[in-house]
Amino acid sequence: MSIKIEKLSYSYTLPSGEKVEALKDITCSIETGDFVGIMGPTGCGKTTFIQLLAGLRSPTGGRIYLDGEDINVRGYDRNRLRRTVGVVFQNPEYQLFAATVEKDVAFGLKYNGLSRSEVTGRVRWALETMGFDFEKVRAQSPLALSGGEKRRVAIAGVIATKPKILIFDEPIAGLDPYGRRNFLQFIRGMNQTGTTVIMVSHNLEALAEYTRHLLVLEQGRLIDSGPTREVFARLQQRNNGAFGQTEAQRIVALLAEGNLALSSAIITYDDLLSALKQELNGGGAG
Amino acid sequence: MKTLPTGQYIPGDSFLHQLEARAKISCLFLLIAAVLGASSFWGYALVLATISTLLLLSGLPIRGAVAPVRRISWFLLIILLMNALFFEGEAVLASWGIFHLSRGGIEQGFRVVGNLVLILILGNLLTMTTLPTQVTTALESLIKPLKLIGVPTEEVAIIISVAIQFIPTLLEETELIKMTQIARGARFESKKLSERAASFLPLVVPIFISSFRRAEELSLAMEARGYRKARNRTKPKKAPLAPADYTALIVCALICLIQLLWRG
Amino acid sequence: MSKLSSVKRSIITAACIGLCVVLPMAFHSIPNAGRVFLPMHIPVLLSGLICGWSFGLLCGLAGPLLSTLLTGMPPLAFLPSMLVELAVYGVVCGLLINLVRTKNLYTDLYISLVVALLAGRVVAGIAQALLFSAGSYSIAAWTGSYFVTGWPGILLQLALIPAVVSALMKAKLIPARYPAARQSA
Repeated sequence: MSIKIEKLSYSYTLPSGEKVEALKDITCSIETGDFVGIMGPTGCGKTTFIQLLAGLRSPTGGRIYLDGEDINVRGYDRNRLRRTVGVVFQNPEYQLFAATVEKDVAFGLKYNGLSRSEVTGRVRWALETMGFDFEKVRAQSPLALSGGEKRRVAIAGVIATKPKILIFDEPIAGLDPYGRRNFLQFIRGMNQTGTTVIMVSHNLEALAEYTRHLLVLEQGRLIDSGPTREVFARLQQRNNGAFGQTEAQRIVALLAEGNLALSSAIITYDDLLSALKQELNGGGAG
Repeated sequence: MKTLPTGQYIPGDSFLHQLEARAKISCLFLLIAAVLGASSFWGYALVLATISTLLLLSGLPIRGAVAPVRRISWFLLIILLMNALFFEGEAVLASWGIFHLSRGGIEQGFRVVGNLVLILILGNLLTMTTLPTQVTTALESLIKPLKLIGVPTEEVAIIISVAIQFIPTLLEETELIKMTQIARGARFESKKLSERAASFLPLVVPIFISSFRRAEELSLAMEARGYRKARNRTKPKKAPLAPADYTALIVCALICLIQLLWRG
Repeated sequence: MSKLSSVKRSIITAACIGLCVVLPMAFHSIPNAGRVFLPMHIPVLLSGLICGWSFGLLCGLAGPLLSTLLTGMPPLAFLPSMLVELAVYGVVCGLLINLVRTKNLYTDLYISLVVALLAGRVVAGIAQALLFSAGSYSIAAWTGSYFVTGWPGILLQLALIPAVVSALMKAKLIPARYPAARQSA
């Protein structure tokens, strides 16, 4: 499922009559099986962008093509779109409503034309993927679960339809470091089985380590895009450390002040670690 | 997008915009009484003249002020017919079963619809020249006398102001929940009643859960800080009524009085 | 449904009043939802059921009033009869839920809701007749028309409200009515 976006714009009018341009003239494309990160400061239009991608809002200008088909033309099958594109919003636990976990996870499968046993199979798969014991959890009320469990049930409800494109809006916000790592590994796992993943995040470390391509939004405009490493390197030069600098890049900058020059290609902790090792080894030999 | 809707309010600085909301609401009630009390040709002429003057004073486009009336014209027609057909008046012109078309009925119908239209225009004049928050603050102070019959008016005022503060957040969360469920494949177009009820559950349950969670957070915070303080919340300072407000009140009271005298 | 502190009752009622404004706006984009589904009724009934008759009354009066002021819905012409109808809903279901105790949450809810919904419609029908009409046949006619046009809404509310109440109890946002009985149910 490749996505092509052409001159995408979205604007709305406030009750006061003021016109707000949330997105302006965005052109880019996302290849099948890619892992794409979307970054940008708060209010840059990230959330609006993914709502447009998922067909939840109609653009006020431009087009979005999914495998060559414009998703906003009359007659495009919206229900097929819902099955193709899954969205995990911020605080996905807010979507829970059914009397049992099983029913809640099965909600999105209602119109898929699956048989009863296929539905049960999918629900079992989704819940087990999210680390649950299916038999133990299926009859419980999703609302009575703990916060973390609720979130996992909600995500099971999204992946149950096996969407070809999965969008995550700030998936790791509010998680502890251990939970963050676990969840990112899960997302990577989904991506490795062929799902196209689009992840919006404030966490630059996560974006640097896990994504392959990046889109950078600022005030509704796409200011940069490309392979993750290249984008980080460019952002480093452009902003000189203001926005878009990972911790590792910051440490490299500090070390440079202390006359220890390392490669400017370092963006993740792993990069930094191996560069330092090399430096130490090199120092020992020389 | 966290903003409170402003309803029908149209910004302006006309005479009506500048009147104090308390005075405007009191005038509205006096004039409604005048409309309901009108019985003769001259009575209606007086209220019509008053309303026309107010429309001019408001500086609002006439079309805009009358638009809400046009929107419910089908409803007005039904009221006209109901009255005309069911009224047991003199001079029956025709009758089918339980329906009786009479002169009295037609007159009655026109009178009811006429009164309704005039009252609606008066109401619109209030809501188009006054911000919703000004109206509610004014209502809070106007219901104070109800304290005498045991109504906890301060409590009511606090609840309503909290409700208004809640609205932008609730609106945002509700929109988000709607989108989330649509993204999951929720459909609302079912014709069958039972299915339709079921299709609203995925919206209604999460909306109430998240609203009640907000309510719980806020009430815990209020209890932790001591509710006493919330009682003595900082009230917007009430502006004293200006001479213009008193003039408006007196004029409206006079119109109301004349109407009642004409009637008697 | 006791055990709620008075502060909590007040704030829950405030949220319900807010929802009286928000729900009709949210359902506006769904075709026919507002007319058949009557979204404003749910928060009023819930605040009556959960917080008691006086809070239900306040929600029934303040909810539609704020909605008219802030959004223009319902139009001013419908506001008076709506105020009467919703106030009766809030009061009656708040009173009944305290009187009816059958040891079964759903039975209690259904009895309170059915009586409240019928009472609200009768009173609102009478109020409309008095407001808009004066003939002798008209009270019966208005009241009748109110029932005929409103019954799908009654059924929807009977289906939705118990589900919302039980969800709120499971999420522990309101205390359980029969704590021991819930385990076995």
